[in-house]
Amino acid sequence: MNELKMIKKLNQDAVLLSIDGEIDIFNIGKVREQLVQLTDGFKEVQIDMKNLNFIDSTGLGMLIGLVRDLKGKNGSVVLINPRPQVMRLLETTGLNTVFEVRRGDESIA
Amino acid sequence: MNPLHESVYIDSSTDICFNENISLTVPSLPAYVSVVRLAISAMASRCGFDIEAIEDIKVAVAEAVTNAVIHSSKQQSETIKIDSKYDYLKRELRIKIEDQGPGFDMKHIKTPDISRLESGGLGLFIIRSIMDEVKLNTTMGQGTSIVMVKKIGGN
Repeated sequence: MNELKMIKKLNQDAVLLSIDGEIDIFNIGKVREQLVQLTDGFKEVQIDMKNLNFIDSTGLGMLIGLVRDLKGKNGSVVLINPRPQVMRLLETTGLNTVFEVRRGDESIA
Repeated sequence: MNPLHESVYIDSSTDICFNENISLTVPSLPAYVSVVRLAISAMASRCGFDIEAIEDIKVAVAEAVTNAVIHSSKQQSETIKIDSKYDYLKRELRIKIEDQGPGFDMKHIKTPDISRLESGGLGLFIIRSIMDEVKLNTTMGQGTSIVMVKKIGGN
């Protein structure tokens, strides 16, 4: 099971979300729909990933799409505390250069 | 019970040459990607791969089965066949994933340009990055198969 939820609105332009569980082709449609709703109107989206166990290319494609949308608004996507297996995938694909990745307590603005 | 719940076939064996085999046949549906992912990663764990390699195998299997589901011909009866064999002498896990989809022209395979925020072809790119050997075979009208190898102490 997975859950994407809003943790808090950080300011007028920034929001902190968290995503738990697993993202794959089975639930990507629902997660993408939730992401569109929760990020509407924000320029900076921070996503706490500490409880995300698995993400596949469909999930990464969703995050790439979010970066693309926000770049058009001079915004950004920040991934917070991805687990080692998720971080390895970000590094393998070079996506760690596309997203800002924050670790530890520096996470929340 | 939903009849689909009964349509995962698992066959496993260990032969005298210290090979270990698992064969699975699953419906070509998104719900079964995690079934295959978990079965093969459990096998990799049994065979002695470390956590990092097990994660790589899990990701590669998920990507290959996802591609098979995405490119299926969307017929209810379509299945994906997975054969996984661990060779204790070579210390390698060989996983073959075959679909019954329409196949495609390999010239159309893209390499994603991450700097331009393109995600097309990301699945195959990931598989090639994390597995030691990858062979793709596809014939228009006859389906696609991918063979992936992970070696203990490899990539």
